[in-house]
Amino acid sequence: MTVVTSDPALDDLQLVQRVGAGDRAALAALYEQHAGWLTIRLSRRCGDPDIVDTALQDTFLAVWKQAKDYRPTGEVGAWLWTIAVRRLIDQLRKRPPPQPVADVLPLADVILHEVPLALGHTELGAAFGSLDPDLQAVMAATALDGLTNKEAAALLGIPVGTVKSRLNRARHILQEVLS
Amino acid sequence: MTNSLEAALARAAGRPRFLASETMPDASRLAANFAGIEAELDAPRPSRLALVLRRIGVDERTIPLITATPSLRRSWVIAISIAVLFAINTASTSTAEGIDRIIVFLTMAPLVPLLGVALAFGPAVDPTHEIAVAAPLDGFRLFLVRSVTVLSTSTAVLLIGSVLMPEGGGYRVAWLLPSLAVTTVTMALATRFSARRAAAAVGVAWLVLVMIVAGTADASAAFGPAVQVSSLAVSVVGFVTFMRRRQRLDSLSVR
Repeated sequence: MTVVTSDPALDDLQLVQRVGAGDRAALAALYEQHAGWLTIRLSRRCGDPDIVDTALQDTFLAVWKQAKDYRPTGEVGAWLWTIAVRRLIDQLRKRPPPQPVADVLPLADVILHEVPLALGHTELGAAFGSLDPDLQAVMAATALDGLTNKEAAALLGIPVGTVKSRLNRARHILQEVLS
Repeated sequence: MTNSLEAALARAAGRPRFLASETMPDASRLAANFAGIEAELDAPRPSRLALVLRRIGVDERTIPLITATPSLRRSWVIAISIAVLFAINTASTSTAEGIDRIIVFLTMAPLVPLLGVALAFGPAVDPTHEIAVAAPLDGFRLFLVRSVTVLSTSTAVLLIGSVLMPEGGGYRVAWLLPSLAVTTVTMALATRFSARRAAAAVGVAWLVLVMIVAGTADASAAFGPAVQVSSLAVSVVGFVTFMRRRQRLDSLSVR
């Protein structure tokens, strides 16, 4: 008996192409596949479920419009995430969330769940762990999510200048720890 | 070495699905969000006119009043443009001299905005007529908003036509004040009769007047200084009457 394994990446690609051709069922299937983890990752970056829900809806509306121009360069999921995180920034710019409570660290869940998976139990992971939580958050927003300094500032609710200076400090510390 | 850490993080962004032992969001939330997406996809697209109006800062609640105006439809604008083209054509091929070449255009021009106002209201032409009757709408505001938009579009088309006229000098725009006069009188009469009846009566009156004046004197007299000044006077009287009787529009303009 042969086991038929479906390649999820290929399926995703086909779905996006069908969405690009105006197939609503394909959009539903793509949503079925990806809405869950997108919601979780968005929630780790923004505590307001209303903003997360709006960003998620905007993401798939953007997918509906942009799918026909999609060029398969990497995983479809990565493309979805770039759209999603920017839709989240758009929403945050429109209605900035209330100032975070002092004892809640920014992007704490991202640092707790996503950074270790990206870096693993390596020298790099240890070096990252040695940073202040504020510096870790800026590092996660810019390097992990690929945001510009301006976008990271909107996500973290801090001025752009602060993002720049924290990023410089983080790089300086990492250089010393890793060399 | 710092770069390698940032590169490792960036590489991870390409593996977006990694989730550490976390529960998925509940199905009802995901379903509700998808319903929101579908509703947005199914929502009617705002027309290009509505987008332009929004861009120039027209009040969001006024936009549907304007875009639903029957005599603003593309067919109407195309129709009056063709009529103006015919008038230009007639004037270019005419053998007459001076104002006589454009007399037909000058006589017909004031009737265009008049027709536009007449065709902006009433159960026969207005798709929102029933809604307007049933809704607690300010009839005066509705009437004014629609009349002003109809007037500005038809006047714009007519002005372009005037510029393209082959001859006529200052007389090219001699229809402007008579046009204002017949329209304000129609608006004043619309506070008592229906907009269509008012427009029909005023339109016929205008044609008779032009024929009498042009018949007794020469054609230029029908658009000469005397007619221009009295047009302005009639416009003022018409507008004042309209404003004084505007309350009546709540029950009558939508007839």
